[in-house]
Order: sequence, then C-alpha cells, then structure tokens
Amino acid sequence: MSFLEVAGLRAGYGAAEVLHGIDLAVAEGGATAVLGANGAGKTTLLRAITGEVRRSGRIAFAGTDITSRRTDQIARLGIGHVPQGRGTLNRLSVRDNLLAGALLRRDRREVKADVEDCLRLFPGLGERIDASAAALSGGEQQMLAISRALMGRPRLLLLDEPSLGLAPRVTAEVFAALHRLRAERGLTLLLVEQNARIALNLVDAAAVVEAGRVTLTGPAAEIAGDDGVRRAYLGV
Amino acid sequence: MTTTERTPAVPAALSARARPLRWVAYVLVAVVLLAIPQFASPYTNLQLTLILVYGVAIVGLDVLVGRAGQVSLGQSAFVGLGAYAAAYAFGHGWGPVAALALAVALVGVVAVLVAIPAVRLRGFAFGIITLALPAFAVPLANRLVDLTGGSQGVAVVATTPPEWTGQADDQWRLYLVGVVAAIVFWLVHNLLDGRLGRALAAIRVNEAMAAANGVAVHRNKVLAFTVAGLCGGVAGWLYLIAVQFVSPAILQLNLAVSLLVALVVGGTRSLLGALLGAAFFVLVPNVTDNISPGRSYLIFGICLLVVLFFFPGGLAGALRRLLAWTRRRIGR
Amino acid sequence: MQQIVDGITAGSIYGALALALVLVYRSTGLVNFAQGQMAVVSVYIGWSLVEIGLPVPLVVVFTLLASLVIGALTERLLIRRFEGQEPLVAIVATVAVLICFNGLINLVWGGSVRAFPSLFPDEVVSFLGARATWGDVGTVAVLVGTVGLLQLFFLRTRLGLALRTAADNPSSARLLGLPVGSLLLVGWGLAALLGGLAGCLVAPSVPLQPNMMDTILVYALAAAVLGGLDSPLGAVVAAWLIGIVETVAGANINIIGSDLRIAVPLVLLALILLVRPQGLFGRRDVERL
Repeated sequence: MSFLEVAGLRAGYGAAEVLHGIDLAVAEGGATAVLGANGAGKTTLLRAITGEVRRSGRIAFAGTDITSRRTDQIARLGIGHVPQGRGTLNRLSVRDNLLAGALLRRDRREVKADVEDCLRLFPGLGERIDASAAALSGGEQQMLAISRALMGRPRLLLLDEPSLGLAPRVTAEVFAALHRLRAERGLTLLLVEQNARIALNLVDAAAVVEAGRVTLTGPAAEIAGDDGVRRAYLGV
Repeated sequence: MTTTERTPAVPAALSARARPLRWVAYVLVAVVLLAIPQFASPYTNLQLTLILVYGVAIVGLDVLVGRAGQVSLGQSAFVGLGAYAAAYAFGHGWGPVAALALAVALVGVVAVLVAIPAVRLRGFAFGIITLALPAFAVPLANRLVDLTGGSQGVAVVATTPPEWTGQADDQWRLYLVGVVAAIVFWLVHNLLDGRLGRALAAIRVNEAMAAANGVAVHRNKVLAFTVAGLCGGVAGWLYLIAVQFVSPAILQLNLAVSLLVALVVGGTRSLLGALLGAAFFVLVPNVTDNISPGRSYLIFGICLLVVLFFFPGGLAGALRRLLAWTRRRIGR
Repeated sequence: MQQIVDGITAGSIYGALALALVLVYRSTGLVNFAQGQMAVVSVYIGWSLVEIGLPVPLVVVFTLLASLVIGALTERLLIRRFEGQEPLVAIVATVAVLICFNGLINLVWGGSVRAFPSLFPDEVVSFLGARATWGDVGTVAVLVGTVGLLQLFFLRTRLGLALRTAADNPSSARLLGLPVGSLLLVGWGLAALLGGLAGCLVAPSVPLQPNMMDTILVYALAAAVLGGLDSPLGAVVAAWLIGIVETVAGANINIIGSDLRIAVPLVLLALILLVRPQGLFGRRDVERL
C-alpha cells in the first residue's frame, strides 16, 4: 500500500466538477510530479488532498482514510502543503512565519534547531529574519513558504507550482533546495508544476493531468521521453 | 440536424400565447394595487404609504451600499433634511412641487459637499464618517428652533385631496406617494441600467481593479452618494406628505441603521428587495409589539437573525428562489 | 490640565472598547456593532451578582468571565455563519445581535436605571495641578496595563502567534494544522473580555441602563478607525486623543453643548483621515491585482 493513495477522486467548486476520477499513488520517500496545462485541475488535486474543496472518492495517507477530514486535521497527520501563491502571512515577520509552521510542536529546542536548518537551506531568509514577510520578493516568499511547511516536520510535502512567477535563476535555487531535501531528509514530495523540465529532473515518477483526468503516468525518464509530453510541455 | 434543447419550461406554442397573458397579469396586478386604497382602512393605507416612503429611501441607499459597496450610516440625515425642507416650504405656503424642489436642492448640495472628501476613504472608515451626518443633524435640528421647531418638531398641512377626486386624506396620500415613488424607482432603474450601473458594480467588486480598467472611481462614488442622498431627500418630502409632521427623531442614527438593516433584509441590488425591506421595517415591529410588548425588541432581533441566517440573499432572493422552484415544478 | 486628565480618563474607556473592536476586526475582518451591548449584558450580570451580595472584586472577575463566554458563544452560534459572506451582511448581523442583546436586557432586568459600585475608593487625588479620583487613575492604569499584557500575549506567546496567524490568513493557518474556528472563538472571547473590562470601568460613574454603551460605542468606533482599524496601539492612542479633544473642546468652545460633543471626535476623525486616509497607525494596503 502506498504512502499516499488517491483513487477515483472527483472534486470541484460549487456545481462544477474539475476532477473526474483521478488515480494516483506516491511511495514513501518518493517524489512524483503532476504535469499539465493551466486549468487541467492540478491545483484542485492538491487542494482536494488537503480537504480544501468538495471531494469524493478515496484518499488515504499512510493507511488513514482522509477523504472526509478537515484541512487542519489532515495537516496534523503530517501533510505539509505549500499553496499556490505561497499563502504568506503578510502581517507577520519572517521569523513569525517560520514559528507559525511549528505551532503544534512541543519540542522547543528542536524547533529552534529547525529554524537554523531552514536558514541554512535558504540563506537569503536569514538576512531578513526580522523583516515583515510582505516585504520579501517573490522568490524569497517561496523559500519562506517551503520553510514554513518544513517547520511542521511533515512526512509528505505538497508543492503547488513553486516556480510560478519566479525568474529562472531563483527557480533553480528553489529546486536545488528541493533536491537537497530529498537527499538529506528523504522527504516524500508531490509536486505540481508547469515547468515540466525542471520538475522531471527532480522526481522519480510523473503523472500528466488533462481536463481533470490522468492521461499518462510512469517513471520520470519515461515521461520525459514521451513524444506527446515532449511536444506539449518540454517545447521539443 | 439538431433540435434546440428546451429547458422544461413553456413549449414554443404556448409561449406565444403567454405574452399577452403576461400583460393581462400585469394589468390585473395594477388594478388591484390601485383599488386597495379604496377598501383598506386609513391605518392600513398609512402603513402602505410608509412602506413606499421608506422604500424610496432604501432604493437610494441601495445605490450606494448595495451597488457601489460603500457602507453608509447617514441616510436618515438626508431623509430628515428633505422632510424639514418640505416642512419649511409648506409652512410658508409653498406648493408641493416647490417644496419638493427645495428638498431635492438642499439635499443634493449637502450630499455632494460631503461626498467629495468622504469618498476618498475606504471601507469602514467611510462608514464611520457617515455617522457624522446624523450626529450633526440631530443637535442642529434641536437648536435651530426657528427653522425646525426644535425638539417639538413641526406639523404642517402638506396637501389636501382635490375636490374632484372625492378621496379621503389617507387615500389621496397613498396615491400621491405611490406615483412619486414609482417615478423614483423608474428613474433609478434607468440610471443603473447603463454605464453607471456597470461602473458601480466594478467598484464594488474591486476598486483598484476598476480604477486600473479606467473607471472614474472617485466621481462615480460621489455620484452614487448623491443619488442616495437625493432619494433620501425625496423620501423625506414623501414622509412629510404621509405623516404631516417632522421632528428630530427622523434624523437619528437609529433610523439610518434601520434603513441599512432593512436594505440587507429585503435584499440588496433589487427594487423588490427595497420594498420588502421597507415592509419588514414598517410591519414587523407592529407584529412583535402585538405578540408581546415587553419582548418586542428581542423578538424583532430574533426575526432579523432568522432572516439573515436562512435567506442570505434577503427576502427578495428567497422569493426569487421560490418562484424559480415553482416555475420548475409547473414546467414538468 | 484638568481637562487633559479628564480626557485621558474618558479616553481610556473608549480605548478599552476600541481594543475589542480592533481585535475582532483583525481576526474576523468585520466590525462588531454589538461590542458595546455585549459588554452591557455582562455588566448587568455583574450587577445581579452584587445584588446577591458578592464582594466587588469577585464580581468584576465573574463579569469578565461572563464577557468571555458571551463573546465565544456569540461567535460560535451567531456570527460564524456570516464570516465568509460579504462584510455588509456580517455587519448587519452584528446589528441584529445588538438588538437581541438590548431586548434581552430589557426583558431580564427591565429598563430602569440602576447603580453599579466602584472598585476603587472614592477619594480624590491631586497631582500636576489636576484632580482625579482613584477610580480615574485606576481606569487609566488598567488600560495601560491591559495594552501591555495584550502586546506581550500576542507577540510572545504561542497562542498569541496562533491567533495572529489565523487572523492574517485563515486558509494558510489551516494548512499549518491550526484549528481556525476555535481560534476565532478565542479571539471573540478575548475581544468580549476587553469590552467587559470597558463596561466595568465605566459602570460606576454612569447610570446603569440598557443603552449605556451606545455613545461610547460611537467614540470607540471613531478611535478604532482613527488608529487604523488593525492597530491595537493605534486604537488606544487615538482613543486618548479623542478623549482629550472632546473634553477640551467641550469645555472651552461654548457652542458645543452636551449634544454636539459626540460630533467632535467625528470631526477630528474626518480631519485626520483627510490628510492620512489610513488612520494614524494604519497600513496602506498594497493590493496585488
């Protein structure tokens, strides 16, 4: 049984259904990318997993059925979600943003150590640690959002379009950090990305979502080699 | 070849016949409405008149609050100013048209003068500032005793039914107020149908975006404020005609808040909503008073909460949903 | 000088209620018009406790506890429904709550005027050329202390951080595992506590009647907006400013009688907002389109 298992997932907003039966599985320690064009339903998929939209079907995390749980309950089970747009806490400082990620933890000293870890992962944040989070650039906010999610020591990290709106150099920085996270901590990742090239470089497996359905899944190398994918998403 | 899919509504053959039927229905409703004052008691006629009066005030408030999205707590000041202006005019022997002109002119000037600076504020700041209107109006009315009769108020004889109509006072007033109210509703509806309505809708949704799209936000907000004030002024004139008396009570914050509540209860952005809200405001307190005088206020509050809880679109929204539901059932 | 002292005292009461308004605004994004009336309910409960013979300090404690419960219950049962909707409906809902509480007070206690005992001794103290009762001094001290405690609470404690997080971005807060609903409940409870505090501070010197907080609410609203609506410190400073200006203007400008006094803070508010639309301490919201 997989670490994260999604079966027959339907989800949508109001009367509109966006996902029409998604099947997906992520192994523990693995990393999967979800690729697809705008409006395909990739963000809805992540939001369905964390219970932010109306959904039906079956979603199981580490053996627990989370299909009808509330968002905060799902988060407490160990799923971190870096939302699209980063969800920065604008009126708080950078430090407070990080600490907010660890609010449910009791181990004070470890929390401090984790803050240091995050600053090592993203040195740019260290210089701005007492600044208001709203003053950060887009790239810095992305790094902050990822760090904040990491502060909760999640077992599974969902990332929604981390490269969105970022310059290539900054995107490379962010993804380098993600590489390190996989290598050093064995973190399980589910990554939604429009930038297929950089995503496929990071992950083991990938799924292509089109119009609310999974049209292609497989190991990353296979997906990267697929002609359709190359034409549509890799610009080849 | 495809046939166009028709919703389970009226099939083509019937709808061609339905249109004249519709007009017959409208005429029937109009006849009934016109006939009511002949058979209803003076008290009922007064209630109906008041509903129309407040309906006009609320329709105006809706332009600013419902359409442009700016919370205002000052409408009562405009109603009161209109009423006092009319009282002054009638008291000095002017005719009703002149009185209306005075009311509208005064209210218009005040509205524009207040709006121009006030409209620069966003959200709640604007709302709290509009509190200043009743806050100033009440003491002013109390103090300018020569003009306003002070806290005692002023009683005037505004209009009397012409001989040839053979109507009693209350009936004549209801018709007069009804006609003027209908004109105001029609004017406002036309005003909102065009560019102003779209501009205000854009402003309500997102001011910054509206500005970025070329909407003259400041000017349109001033316009909305002025329209609201003008309607308030007309409502004041109508009030005086209906009640023949005005006192500082009409200027109070209480009424301003009540008008806002009535607007939401009836349903924003809807003419029917304005009337339903006015009806709620005029009739429900009487009902609750009859149920239990000691608990009247509490029951009224509970009624309010019930409506807000279960009918987020206001009473008008609920009515619309009911109509849609019945139409679906009939169509089957 | 006397007027300034009086002004600061009056301002402290407005400030306590203004703090409550700011707290509610920051956590739920709406202005609670029932804040004053909620406080009045708890003060009446306190009065009943006095009538059955409880000593005054204990009565105050219970009154504050009652405020907390009233605030939490109101949020959970009445207001939660309106939190997602347009602010206009939420505001009108708070007005409906105001009406209900007013009606409730009239029903349970009746509308006649009563008296509430003071926490502080009645003697007058004199300093800097002005006279003030211990009650006045106590009021200001309590407010200053409260502001200090609040700052400490919000900036240094984990619950404070949790509340700030939920207030800043509820959906992000949920993703971090925070029970946002419960946090809003706590926020409203705290705000109601501050309102109850305002009630206790003002009750000894003002006749106890169902409408006693109505004018104070207007002053508190003006103070909250003047301070910038999302700044607790701003609300308090603004409240003091309003208190001082109102007292000084009322005493020295003859044309301002008791009925126009309420217009003074509004004029002050209008003047300052003309120059600085975001209030004294408010932040210019940069909206990302």
